[in-house]
Amino acid sequence: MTNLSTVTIHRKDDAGVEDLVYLRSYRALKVALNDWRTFSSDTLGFNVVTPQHVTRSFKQYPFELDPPEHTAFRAAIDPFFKRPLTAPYAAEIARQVGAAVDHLLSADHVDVTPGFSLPLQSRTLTTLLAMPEAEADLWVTWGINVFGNLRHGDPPEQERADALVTYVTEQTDNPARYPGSLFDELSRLTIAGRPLSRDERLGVAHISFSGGRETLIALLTGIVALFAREPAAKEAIRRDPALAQSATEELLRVISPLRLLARTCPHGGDAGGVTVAPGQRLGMCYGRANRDPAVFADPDQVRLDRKPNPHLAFGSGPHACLGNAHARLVARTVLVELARRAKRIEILEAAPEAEAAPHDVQGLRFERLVVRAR
Amino acid sequence: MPTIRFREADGTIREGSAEGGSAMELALRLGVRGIEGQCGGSISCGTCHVHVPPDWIDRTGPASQAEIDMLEFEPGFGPASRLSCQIELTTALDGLTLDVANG
Repeated sequence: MTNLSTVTIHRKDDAGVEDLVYLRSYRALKVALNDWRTFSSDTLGFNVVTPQHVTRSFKQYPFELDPPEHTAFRAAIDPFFKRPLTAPYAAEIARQVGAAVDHLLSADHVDVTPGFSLPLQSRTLTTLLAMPEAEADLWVTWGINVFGNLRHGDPPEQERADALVTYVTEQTDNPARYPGSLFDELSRLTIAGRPLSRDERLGVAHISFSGGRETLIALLTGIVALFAREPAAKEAIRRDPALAQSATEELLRVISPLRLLARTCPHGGDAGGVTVAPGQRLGMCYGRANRDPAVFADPDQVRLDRKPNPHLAFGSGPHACLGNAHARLVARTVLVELARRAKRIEILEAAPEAEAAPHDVQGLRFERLVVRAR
Repeated sequence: MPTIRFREADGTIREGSAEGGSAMELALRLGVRGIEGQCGGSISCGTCHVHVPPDWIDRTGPASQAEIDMLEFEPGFGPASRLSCQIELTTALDGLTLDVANG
């Protein structure tokens, strides 16, 4: 395997601004996501557009591996992340969502992202990782985005990134502290008869925290925004809770909780008709592809019963999102519970995200959304 | 009411009957391993991939273009592939055995 950390990265100019090839069309993106030989994920920190390797010395596993190593690794950890498909797990998520909706309906007003979405994301993550729910009190202090731009209420970026590495290191080195937790499971897991190395355990834990954080938070805030803006959508799901399933898929498409990742082309190749040089990095524009009019009629319209809805919100191919069952369950549960209990959601303040970059879509993204729900 | 069998990746057979609905919904009720049906039939997730025996394709119908688009890069994709959420259970399918594509 080529270690792409060592591959020369093409840069646009001496200022160090990297010139990525952005894949915006649905078809080009889907083909590339499934062609891991040409579009590799085998890097340390380069699978995001702004590399983060400085914050950690280990890979995120299995996200930063390619097949065949990726295949056995993914198969080994998959069962732990399929637990959201079980009834006891769904009951626990329903309880956590119920408590979050209690707060939303009883508070005078709620700043949705820090006051509803972030705490709910962290509380439900304790269920996914089989950790004590009280741990979420610490996790929420890391802010909305453990990497990337400063968001409302976030501590500085380096502090957030370091806090996550420090936490997963502490837990990885004390795996018996919480029996049955992800850390405990990883300490006992074997792949092809060998135990995981410390770096591998750190890497799984790290992506488990970072991969589903800002993404699920954006999805949850988007759901509240949709219901506030379109009471008819809320009413439709209240009348027919089964609609929450297709509605979840549509919101995943429109919101695109993950808008952008990167891959690297170690040997060069063709990306959607563009010839790319060896070492070129590509921006994978999930948000754009999910609005591709060649695939989705009226792509900017929210249709709760859209079918077919082959969105790429969780990617496609070997690296499709490990946490997708959890994310779908949480979103569906919030849709049903909010539709059932909230009579009215009033927007008190809505600050849309600043203008989106060409490779992005703005969608239902907010710098700030304050609501009063009853 | 048609009786349908699902053969899991390890050869285990699970059998059940249903009036209407999809093969995926029946599989979920039977707890068939390898059928998740996460999107509920919106053709978003591809987690209900089955293979239809060749002599049953005329009764189930072939995969639609949307199903092919969903499954084309999946392991085990072939001419017999269908999304079980798109197979409506009718009496014509009585006795059908579907092979589950994923383990």
